[in-house]
Amino acid sequence: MKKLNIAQGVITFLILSLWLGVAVGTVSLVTMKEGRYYEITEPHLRVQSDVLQKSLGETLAGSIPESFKIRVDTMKLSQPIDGGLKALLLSIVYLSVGYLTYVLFVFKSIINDVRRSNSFNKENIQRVKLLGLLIVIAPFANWLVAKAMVWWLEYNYLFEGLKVVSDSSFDFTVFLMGLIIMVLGVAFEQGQEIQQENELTI
Amino acid sequence: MFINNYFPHNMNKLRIIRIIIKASMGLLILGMVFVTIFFASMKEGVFIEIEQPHWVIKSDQLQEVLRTQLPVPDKPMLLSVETLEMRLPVHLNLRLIVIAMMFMVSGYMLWILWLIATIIHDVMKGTPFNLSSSKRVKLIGTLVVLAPLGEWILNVFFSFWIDNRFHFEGMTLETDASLGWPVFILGLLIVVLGVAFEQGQKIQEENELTI
Repeated sequence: MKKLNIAQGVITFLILSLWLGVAVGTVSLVTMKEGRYYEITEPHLRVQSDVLQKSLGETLAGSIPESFKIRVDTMKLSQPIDGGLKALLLSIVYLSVGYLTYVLFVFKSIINDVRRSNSFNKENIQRVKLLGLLIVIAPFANWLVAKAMVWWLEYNYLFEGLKVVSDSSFDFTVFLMGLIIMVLGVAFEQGQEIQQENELTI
Repeated sequence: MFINNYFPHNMNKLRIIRIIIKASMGLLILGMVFVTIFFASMKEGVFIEIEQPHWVIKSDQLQEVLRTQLPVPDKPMLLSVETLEMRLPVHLNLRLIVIAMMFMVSGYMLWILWLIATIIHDVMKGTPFNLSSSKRVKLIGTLVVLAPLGEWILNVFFSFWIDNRFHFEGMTLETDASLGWPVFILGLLIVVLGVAFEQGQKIQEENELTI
């Protein structure tokens, strides 16, 4: 029960933090003056041209010993904010937070059923399976959004000697966690069968 | 076995998941062997790329000098240097640290994958609710909850090791954590499902006593 209480406390705190973050983010983005530069953290740019890399390396070399080599890896870009960018950023935030809130609410309902020692009912099994599916899909969705951002930047802007790249690659760890939750969902179905047999016998 | 006869579609799902888990274990072991041979046979003094941690420019002056060399985009946009990647010469200490960290991370992952494989085995047999299975589910949950903390400790250790040897003005060492709170939350979810497994185990025991 203590574990369940901690888990429920963490989930409630996260849901509230997410909503608070969205509210603060929305207000600060909407009230941001047009033309002000907004720093885009993801995707970023990587140096492709050897000439550019050499020139940047020479500037850095002054403060670095010979036993150590350093080179510019990524560059971030800042774009002047306008209505289009605001709408794009807000829609990405709302989509991600909506998805996360849904996952957290489903998780909370599962905790409630486990606390009532009523884990093996039809709704709960469906919830566990749904959660497994949502978590398995999440890395694919994240990868697709990151790729779409890269394509959009490449299509709209020309960066000489630079390449648009994203760090949001396919998250195998989350995918793996989704798979284990799917396996546990199957075990829950078996639990329901045992529970029903038990009730019939009694 | 009797229960899974009612759910043939589940058996296919479990078979696919088992193949993914076993393939991941195989790839991980292969990767460990490959990385060990690669690092052990590397000549002393050869520079290797260190992806994490990386350097970040803090000095506005240096940032400005670098910015003047960057290409000017065709549309209004500002570019600035974000991260700097380092290359270190290979020597015994670096070899040992990299190999030890790789073995720790891969060993941890192999342990979790092996636990998942044994749970799948029990679920496929139709006997998921036994004492060892409940313990395994809870152990996986705990290991996943602790994974971001473990990653943070390894990152701090490696950053500390590098920072002690190299220090540059206007730059700081930073690390991007790959496991964050989503992994922590998923670990909590698995712990909760472990508690439900305990309840399942009790129901199973009652069932066996009644029969």
